[in-house]
Amino acid sequence: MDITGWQAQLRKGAAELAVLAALRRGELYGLQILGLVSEVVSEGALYPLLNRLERDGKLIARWSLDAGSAHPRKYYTLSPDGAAIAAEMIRHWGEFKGAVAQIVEDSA
Amino acid sequence: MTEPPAPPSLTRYLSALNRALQPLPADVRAEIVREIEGHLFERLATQDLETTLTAMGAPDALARPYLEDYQMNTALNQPNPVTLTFTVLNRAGRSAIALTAGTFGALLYLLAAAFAAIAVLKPITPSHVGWWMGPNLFEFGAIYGTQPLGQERLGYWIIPVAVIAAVGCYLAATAILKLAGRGLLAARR
Repeated sequence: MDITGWQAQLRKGAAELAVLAALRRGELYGLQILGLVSEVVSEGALYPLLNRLERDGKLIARWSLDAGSAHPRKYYTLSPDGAAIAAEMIRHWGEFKGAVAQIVEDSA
Repeated sequence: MTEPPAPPSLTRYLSALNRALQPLPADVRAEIVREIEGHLFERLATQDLETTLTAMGAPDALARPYLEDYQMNTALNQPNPVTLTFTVLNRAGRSAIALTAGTFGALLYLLAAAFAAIAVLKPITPSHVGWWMGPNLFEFGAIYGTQPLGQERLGYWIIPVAVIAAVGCYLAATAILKLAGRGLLAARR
């Protein structure tokens, strides 16, 4: 039985939550975010997602040329709106996860 | 820190990405390429080039979500009917909402154009534009050739009726397409 499509949909649905949740730790740049969310978001999908979240006003970005780095890095933080949305998404996720777990356990 | 020279295939990848992002404004495009470039160089410190580029995906595939988001946002913020319709219809192959809304939107815009044409043509050729009714007869619009035999009901009142209908169809089409566009953007999240 092929569940690849279902897995892709799950990842797609969880990608924004994963990135917003990762950034609750503080300011991070792309590769650092990827290190936290790589189970859910692929490298090719991460940067367009960050771009969209920034344009939607959920993230704030700044460029920095760090010591020891040859290339500038684009750092992201949650905007106040983004932080509120992340908190709300995490609350919903907890409820959803609990409900699905209950259904799956009851069926076992 | 001195920048190491970019391997030729990395340079080609970034050039291809830059080309694929061509429809975007130059400053937006440059920022995207700069971020991806930084990521790829940093990745090269821990893995080989082929693995690095494969993980990021083909330049066209990487560029697509940037382009689609940009085009949809632009179409939603500048409601040019043609741009809006084609931007929604462009996703018709992947979304039933896009197909339905794009088709209805396009039809409503065409209807709006037809009503507008009726309003414009009435003063030019009054006997061929109208609303004729009679036994087994219902004609509304501009008639080419011989006038229908039924009675014409609206006279010059057809102008405001057609204008109102044109505006209504235009607004309905724009609302449907914008709603669908926002839905398509939200569905990508």
